[in-house]
Amino acid sequence: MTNKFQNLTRRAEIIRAARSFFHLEGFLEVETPILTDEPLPEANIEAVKTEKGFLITSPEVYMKPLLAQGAHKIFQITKCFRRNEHGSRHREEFTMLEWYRADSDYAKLKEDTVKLIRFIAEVLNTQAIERGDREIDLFSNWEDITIDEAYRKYANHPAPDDDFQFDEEMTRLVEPNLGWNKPTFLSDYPVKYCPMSAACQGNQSNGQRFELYIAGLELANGCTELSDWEKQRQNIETEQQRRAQNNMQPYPFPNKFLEAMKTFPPAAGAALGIDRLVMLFTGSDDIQDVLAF
Amino acid sequence: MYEASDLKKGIKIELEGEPYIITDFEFSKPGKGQAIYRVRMKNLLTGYSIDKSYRSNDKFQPANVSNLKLQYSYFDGTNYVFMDPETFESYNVNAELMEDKKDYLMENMEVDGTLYNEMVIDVTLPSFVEMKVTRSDPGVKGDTATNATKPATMETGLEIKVPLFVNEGDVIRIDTRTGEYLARVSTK
Repeated sequence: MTNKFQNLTRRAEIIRAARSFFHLEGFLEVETPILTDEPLPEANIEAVKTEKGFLITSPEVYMKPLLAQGAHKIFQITKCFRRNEHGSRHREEFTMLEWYRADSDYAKLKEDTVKLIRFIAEVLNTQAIERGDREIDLFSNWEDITIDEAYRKYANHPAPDDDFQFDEEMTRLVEPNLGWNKPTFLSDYPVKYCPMSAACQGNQSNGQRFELYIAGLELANGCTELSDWEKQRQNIETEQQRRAQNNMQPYPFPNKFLEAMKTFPPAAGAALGIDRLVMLFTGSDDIQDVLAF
Repeated sequence: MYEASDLKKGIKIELEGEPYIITDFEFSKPGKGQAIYRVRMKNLLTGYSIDKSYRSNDKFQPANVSNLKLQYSYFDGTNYVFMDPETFESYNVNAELMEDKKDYLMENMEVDGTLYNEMVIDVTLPSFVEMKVTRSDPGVKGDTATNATKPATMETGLEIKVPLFVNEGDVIRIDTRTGEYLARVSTK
């Protein structure tokens, strides 16, 4: 493939710029284990099992306990693994940038996200993302719409209650339309889709969670973390039950994680898919085009 | 049985009693949502395409579809009869399916057949065939325009346009996909 080394060069520049951004913002870069014996249960994400335990599906399971131990602003760029996820935008093994702020909320993370992507664009000397015949200007004001507004606008009805309909319409009608004029935050998910997020202050049936879309590509996810310990334990139990209903592999109950979370501060955390960010900045349609192998 | 995650282009599945071939396949998964398998597939009986979305625990029956070499034998007045040259088993193919192809058929011609539940549902002709011209008026003298053609009738009844120099009794090569004359193979 002729573009391979151009894309890999871009990839290295993007990762270096992302690192510089968080260092300049006063975040501590951390490295946490990739192997875990207690993955956090999620109803739609399956971990890869090894003979020594599970590979992380996100560094959350170790980064949150670090906050509980007193870290204030931390970030990490690491490999994550999610079984059976492969397509033009998915790989079972992928690279995630994840960051946490103590004493903060998702509004602050949205600001971080805007600043981060503009910082990277400046390093790359780029004003806009080019996609087909469209240009998405990264330096004009970004759009922020709620889940409910998005379904009304693109599916002509409020967000549906049925899980399959919600996801099917999300991928077919909503997502492909997001982030074409400017980057778009999709905010305030129904609480059942964000078991680890704090509820919104106004409407308690929604959670303080957002996703970022550019040119129809889902790029980042963030939330104000749930800090009510008992609620967290209950939600983890509910996710374990949903996994069992979905015939997913059983995980040990994450006792060590919950024990560590007893001192978890009010906090917010976000994750951004590095591979997809590189796809956008290199004009690639397939994630394979931005990977070395 | 296939699961949704086994699906990919080219796989043939059975849906509501009819065979489909998957022509496009996309995995998508919103944020923390469930995996959605978006599939475009073509009905092998009607040729029509449909789009469907599936979840990961949906299951599919493989369609009992296979390919085999067939040899054309004869037309019995209702069906075109083909034979498997290895087993000598014969297959009737209804005339409707052969409508656009029948004029290319010659005895013992080898074709690619698609079988569904032991029924031939598609026949693919060889891309090129050689046939004898049985009727064609001589080229008009003085007509020297390049690319000038004239009608000709083949031994099977097929009518195509041929260059002026082609005569009755010549054998010519024809492209079955376009119905066009390609070359003269031999002269009478």
